[in-house]
Formats: sequence, structure tokens, C-alpha cells
Amino acid sequence: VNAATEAADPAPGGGHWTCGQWAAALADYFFPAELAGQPALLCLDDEAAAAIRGTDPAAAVADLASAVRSWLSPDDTDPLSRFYRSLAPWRTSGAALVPPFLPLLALSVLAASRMATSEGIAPHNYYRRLREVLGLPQTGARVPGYDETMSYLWAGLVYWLDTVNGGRRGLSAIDTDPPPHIRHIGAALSQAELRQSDRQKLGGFFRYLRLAPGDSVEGDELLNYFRAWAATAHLSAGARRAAQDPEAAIRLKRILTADLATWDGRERDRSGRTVVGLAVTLSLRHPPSLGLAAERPPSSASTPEVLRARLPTGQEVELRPLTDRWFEPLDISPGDAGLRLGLQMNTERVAFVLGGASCFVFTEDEELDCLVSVRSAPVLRPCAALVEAAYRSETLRLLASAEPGWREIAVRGALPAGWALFAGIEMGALPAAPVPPALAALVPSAGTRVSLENGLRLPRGTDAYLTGGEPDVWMPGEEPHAVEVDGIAVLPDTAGRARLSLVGLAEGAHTVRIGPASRTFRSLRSTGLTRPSPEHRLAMRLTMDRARSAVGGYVSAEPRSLPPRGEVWVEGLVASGAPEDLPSPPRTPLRLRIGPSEYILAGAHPGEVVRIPTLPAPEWARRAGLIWNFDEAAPAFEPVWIFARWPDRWRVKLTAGVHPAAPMTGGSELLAAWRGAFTLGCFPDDGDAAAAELWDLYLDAADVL
Amino acid sequence: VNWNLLLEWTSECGAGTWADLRDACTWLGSRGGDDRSAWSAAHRLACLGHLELDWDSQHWSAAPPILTMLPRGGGFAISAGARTRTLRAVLQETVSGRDGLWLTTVQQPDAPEALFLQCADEGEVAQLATDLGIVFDPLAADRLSRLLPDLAPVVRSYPDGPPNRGFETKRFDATAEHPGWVPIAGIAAPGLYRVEVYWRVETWWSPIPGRYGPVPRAEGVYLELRRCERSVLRWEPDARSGTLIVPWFAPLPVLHARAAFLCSGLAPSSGAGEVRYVNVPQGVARQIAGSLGQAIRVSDPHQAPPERAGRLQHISRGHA
Repeated sequence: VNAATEAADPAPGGGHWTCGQWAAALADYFFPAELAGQPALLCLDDEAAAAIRGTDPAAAVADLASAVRSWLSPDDTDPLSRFYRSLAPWRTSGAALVPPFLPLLALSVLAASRMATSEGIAPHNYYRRLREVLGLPQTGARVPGYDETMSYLWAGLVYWLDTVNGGRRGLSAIDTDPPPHIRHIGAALSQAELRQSDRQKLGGFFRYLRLAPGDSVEGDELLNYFRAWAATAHLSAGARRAAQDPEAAIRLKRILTADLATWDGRERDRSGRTVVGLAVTLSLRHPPSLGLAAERPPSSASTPEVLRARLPTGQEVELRPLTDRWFEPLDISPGDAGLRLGLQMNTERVAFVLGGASCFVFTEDEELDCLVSVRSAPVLRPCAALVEAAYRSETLRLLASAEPGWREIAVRGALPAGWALFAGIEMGALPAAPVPPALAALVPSAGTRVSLENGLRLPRGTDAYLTGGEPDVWMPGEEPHAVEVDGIAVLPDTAGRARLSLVGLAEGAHTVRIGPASRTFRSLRSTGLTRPSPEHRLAMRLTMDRARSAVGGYVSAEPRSLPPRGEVWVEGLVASGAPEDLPSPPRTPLRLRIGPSEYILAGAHPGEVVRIPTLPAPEWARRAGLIWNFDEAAPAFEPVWIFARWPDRWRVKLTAGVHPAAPMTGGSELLAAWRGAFTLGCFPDDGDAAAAELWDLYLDAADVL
Repeated sequence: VNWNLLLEWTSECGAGTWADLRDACTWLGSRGGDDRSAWSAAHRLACLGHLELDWDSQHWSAAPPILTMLPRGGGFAISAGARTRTLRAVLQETVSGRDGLWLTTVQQPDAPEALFLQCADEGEVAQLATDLGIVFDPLAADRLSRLLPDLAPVVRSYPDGPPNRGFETKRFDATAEHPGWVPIAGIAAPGLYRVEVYWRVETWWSPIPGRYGPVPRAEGVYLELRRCERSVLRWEPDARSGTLIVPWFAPLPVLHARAAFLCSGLAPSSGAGEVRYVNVPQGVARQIAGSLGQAIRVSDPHQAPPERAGRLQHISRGHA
């Protein structure tokens, strides 16, 4: 049989497919051009067979088995010999066409995927499944000729993928050097580790890790999280087994990193539909009310703007975009069953899913202008919780460890019966006692990835923090882990949070390591003499009128331009504006050193005089620990002479070289006081000729008085 | 709250969103077991002139650093506004090389540490500001107090009540012996209302039935006090200046709080239902009260020192 000719024939609408037709269909399905450069798996399972053949799974597998059986020689000592013989002509012709033996390899993978987990991975277990799918009698431990033939066929597929096609249809992820105990079945097992349906669920895994399309995570780290996630995810038995199998580690890492690299941000269900969230909305307006809001699928040209989805009841709802993230809220209020058991509505390509739960946590969503259910409580951010009444007492116990301020809101009739509502919750440290699984959503969770949370992040990229404000590290998963930062062990608190800010890290790059997972960040001591960029500066605008001023709100200041006439801008303590709009500055006060028991200030005009007793330092300054060295005076005249009364005598000092002027009119007491200052018996310091000359003039003026 | 770290972070960032600031406040506060809310921590930084907050756009911006003298402040200046670690280090280094300036750090329990510069000649401080490339204002307290605006709310007609009706609402009872917020069913009569919209609190003031305007809470309280013709501010004189005493239920609006803070450079102290701003000259206190529609009550008028220049004339008359 010329397999290549068979493959080129169009598939008949009914009846059986030939081996060549299956080979072509399998190649198109598992090795499409979209996988260029990425690991490709021949991971045939029942669902994939059905998808390829367009029938139900059992019929599809039967048809494939029938096609393969048509190439078998059951009575021969080597029933697979025909496949073996097809290899040489295919290779000598350049192997340009689809490998004709692909259906046999696919069935061997199917057999591997069907191995009962209870019986473990063992050749006898595998051969029994293979005999079943091939329709061979269950005699003997092995399938005659299998070991020799299959190793050549798998090598042929590797050659076709990696050499002939150069990875343009995907790169081989076939284990060609398995350990001795599974030497002959290792290749098939390596393809059965992740079924197609498992790989479709990896979108959910990446979302679980809060990754975004374009993110890059090392294989070791991904595999570590995959092992934790696989335990509870609805994966095939093979995938769960492979997750824990050290020998599958390298292949899994390649697949996980490759699938992450090409991930479009979507989570898909078994039918290949994009899975997006259906969130419960909560309005706390009186009376509180529940609703539903559907997330929008990640942007895709194939997704129309307005969708029509069908509920299980058959009811159709129209979904109109509200924002990039949300459709408009639905006019549906979930009841008790909907909350407990979950809800789903589908379009042809999208499944909107609300997972049932006994506890829903809500945070405020500004786009929807209400509270929206989230996966888990945020760390130290306000949230509300709707809890099945059966868990009310356990919720109260759990909330005892929340920040103060939460309260239970009594609701009559507005919410489904049997549910309790709590608001104003801020979850920080967790209680030492175990949290019931039903209330897990109330426990802040950073997913299972090493998560850097909080801290004082600087606007220098996404990983820069102020020294002393390094982030907290949240432990992945629920298992205890040791955290190391730059090789130093850091003990997490009871909430599973390690506070790096308490470590005293120096400025620079730091690496946080938890098992094989690691994250890096930088810490900076300072960003310099920072000023916000012009577009980010804020000022309080005061509109000035002739009488008073008025607050006009906030504006973004333009530092290159002064406020317009008639406006004053206040940034913190700095007021700016046109000189006419700003209050005139006060006169600079005279500062007098503490020490003398009193001062007398005298001006040029007789009668310009003040007497200032020295006061003790004010109470507020003493309390603050400020040493009060100066006092202040702001007389209404310009002081020319300062007389200081020291314990032993009066001293005088010239402060302004101003000649004496005409006496002030009126106020004989002031004139006498002014004259009295010049008769205290003190003189300017020797050597100050200018002061001595002026002093004589002032003495003359005093004599005249 | 680790106030110093919070101020350093806002200064180093320069600007950001309210969500970022709230998270930082909460995180820093959570480490000390302090239940002070993020809002009040941010508001406090704004009242001390360290940053500007715009609740409409939900953004904040660090305020420019400034050196300014204190009124009747014994030759003390303060360093206020944004304070990056680099600025702090340069300030310390520069001052240590000058004879006429001394830097004193004062730790505060509920605010970032205060930085005081003492000088005999304020020209030294002005030169320092020039050298650091920051603003010098000889007396920002005086300037700011003379810029304080009148209360001027924007109200408009809402025939059915303001848009947040339906949420938990309280009314400010300004006429009670101890004014405060009391739960109320609806918003109908003129007054000041506080509405809890999820975890935000919106304050609405209604001068006449059917007309409402959103107001900052502090301004709203003084609007309502003015409407009810009630004065609550006191000024207690001392030998040099005085203490402005503000009741706990009526905190000063941001700009007014800054003017009062600038008189001492210290955060106000709280206790016994009062907030006390020290070293506030009577003139500044009257400017603050006047712009809030308050008639200030002088605790003991016989001890009240007259305004700065007048006091000296009075003394000179008494002794000369």
C-alpha cells in the first residue's frame, strides 16, 4: 500500500478512513504549522480522536483501530511488520510526506493513556491496553515485534518533525531514551503524559498563577507550581501521574514553558471554548442586592462585540460590552442554588462560568460601580463576604483575626435565604487554626506562585522598591517552604508571609528563592532630588478677587508658566502667582540673642523706643527639645541702637548707620524713655569708629531733649 | 504608621494614584498594629504640606521642598514639603559646613520627623535654599494665612436628592452640645450629610432643600457650623504667641491646617477631644477663623499679647 497516495485522497463522508487518511488527519491535528518551534505532542486520547474524526469518541477510536488493523498481520510472528516495512521507502523518498505509520504510533499513545493508574506504569499493564485497542488476542506478555518496530517508528517521527520539517510543524517531545524499565514504552508514555484536554487546561493553570500573555517563567518554577496545581485540577490520570514523575520533568518543563510562550491569555474547557468568569455583583445600597456580570474574553478578532449566550434553562441573554473588561451587568440575580452549585452560560466559542461556593468575597469595582466577587480576599484591602449561613459561626471565628472595623449587615429578603453578609473586612494575618475549605476565599492568597506583594514600589520599572520598603513574599501553596533572600533564610509569619523589609537589605538587586522558584527585584536608596514631572504635579488653585479668594479645585500645574493673573497656585506650602496677587511679605524681624535680661531698641527719631524683657523659651519648643537661642522683635521703626542688659552692665550695638532725626511728636514718656537709653552708661565697643561717631551725635540729640 | 518611611516614599515617587498611596499607608501601618486608616494618614501628610491630594482624579503629588522661617519662632526655620533621602543627606551635609546654621531633628509620634534649622540671620537660610535649589519663603505661615479662601461650595439642584441616596447616611448635628454624626434615614432637610458608599465616605452639604453639593468633609463641617451660626475655634494666648484649639469633630481644612502647622513646624497634638496647634500668632488664628466663618474665642483675653509690633510699643510705653 502506498500510504502517501492514500493520504492524498480526500476522506470519504462516511465509512472508514484508511490508514493514510488517518495519518494525514493526525498530522494536521497534532502538528499544525502554528506549533512551529514549539514542543508538539502526539497526545491522542478519546476526545482528540473524536475531534479529528468528527464522530463520538468510541466510534472515532474504533475507526482508527480498524484502519491500523488493516495493516496488521495478526497471525504473523511480527504483526507490525507492514508498518516497519513502510519506513524505508518513506525515508528514501525524502520523508516529505506524512509518516504513514502515524496511526500506529497514535494508538500506542492511546493505550498508554488508558493504563489504569491503580496498576501503575508497567509494560504488562501497557501491552494489555495496546492489545485491546489493536484488537489482538490477550496472549503473551508482549506484542510480538513491538519493541523492535516501535523504536524505529518513533525515531522516524522525530526525524520527520525535527530534521525534515526543521520544527516548522512543532518540535519533537518524544522520549527516545527512556529508563530501562520502560525502555520500549517510554516514547508512547511521553506523549500520553498530557492529553490534548490537559493542555487546553493549561490556560487555567497560567491564570491561576496570575500570569499574563507574554510573561516568562523558568521551567523549574513552572513545574513546581504545576505539581501543586495538578493535584486538584481536573486533569487526566496520565497528567497527574506525570506531574509527580521525576522522569517526566524535562518533557513537562519544555511543554509548560512552550505553552506559556504561546498562550493567548485564555482558559479553555474540554470543548475548546474559551472560559471566562461570570462574577457575582453586590450592591450595598439599601436594600442590598445581588446580580451577575460577565467578563469579556481576551480580545480576539473572532469574538464579536455583542454576544448572545444561552443559560441552562434555555434562556438567551445578550451581552453588550461595557468596558474592556466587562459586559454590561446582567438582569439576573443568582439564587441560593446558583450560588452554591454555580452557573454557566455558553456561546458557541465562549463559556461564562461562575463556580459554586459557600463563600463569595467581593471587592469594589470602579468600572461596574459596585462590589464584584473575586477569587480570594485581597491583602489588607477592604472586601465584603457573602457566606452560607451554615458557616456563619466559623466565619465569625475567622474574622476575629481580621483588622477591626468589619461588621455583619442584617438583610431581610434582599439576598437569598440562608446567606449572611459581612462588610468592611480587611484580612491581614491569618489565624493559626485551620480555615475550613468552604471559607478559603476569605484567606488572602497570592496564588501558588512566589508572589511579591505590598512594599514601597518605586516608579522605576515594575521591580524596584525603596530600601526599607522591600516587598513581602507570600508562600506558594499551602505546604511549608523555606524562603531565602540572597541566600539568607527568612522565616514566614503565620499568614505565610515573609517580610523582606525587616531583613535590612542593602541597595541593589536581590533574589528571592523558594525551592526551585525564584523572583528578583531591586531596591533603591533614593531616586535623587526628585520632582514630579509637570503632568503629574498638582496645585490647589485659588481664584483671587478684590475682596477675598476662593478655592477653585485642583489643576495640573505647568511649571514653565506662572499662574494666570488673578490666580494663586498652592503646592504644599509654596504659593506662586503674580506679585500683585500674592500677599506682600512681612518685614524681617530682628533676632536678639538669648542671654541679656532685657533689650532696649532705639530708632533714629527720639521717641522710637521699645523695651523687651527676655522671656524663657516657650513650652512647645522645650518639649520638642529645641534650644531657644534667639528671640524676635519687629518694632514699627527701624532700630539703630540695640541696648542689651547683661548681668554686669548694659552694652550697646549699632545696627543701622542712620543719623538722629527729628523727635516724634507727642508722647513725652516715649521721648524720656528714648533719652534714658542713651544715659545708661554704656558705649559702643572700642574700635568701631563709625559707631563712636554716631554715638556722639545721638548723645547730643538726647541732651537736646 | 512608619511616618518617616511613608514621607520618604512619597517624596521619592513624586506622584502616583490614590490606590498606590492607600496601599502604602496600609502596609506601613499594618506593621505597627496601628489602626489609623490610610485615608487619615494621607490626609495628615497633606495637612503638613508634604503632598497634594486630588480626590476627584484620585491622584497625589509630592509638594515642592521649602525652607521657611517660623513666626516668632526664635530664629528657627523648618524644612518642609517633599523630602527625598538625597535631599535630606545634602541638607545635613551642607548645614554641617556652615557656622551660622544648626540642624535639629525632632521626632514626632504621629507625623514624620520635623527638621528645624536655627539661624541668627535668615539670609543664611535663604542662601541654603538657593544652594539646594529649593524654595525659600521668609514667612510662609503669614503668606498662606492671608491667602486662605472663603468657604465657597458648589451646590446644584437634585430634585430627588443626591446621586448616592440609598447608602448608609449620617447627618452632622452642629447644634448639639457635642456636635457629631447621627444616623438618619434620608437626605431632605438642609444640613451636612455623610454617605458611606462602599468603603468611601462622601460628604454632601445642602444649604436649602433640594440643592446639594459634594464637599470635603472638613469644609462641610465648617459650612454647617456657619449655617448654624456656631463658633467652635479657640485661641489661648501665651507670653509670645498662642495656641489654636480646634475641636476634634471639626478638623481644619487642608490649607488652614497648613497655615496653622507652619507656625511651629510641629504636627498638632490631640487629646481630650481637641487638636492643638502651638505658636500660632493671634493674627494667623484670626485669618484662619475668619475664612471659615468662625468668630474665634480667646480663652483669656487679659493674657493675650497684642500683635507683634503693638506688643513692643505697649511694653515700651509701660516701661520707658
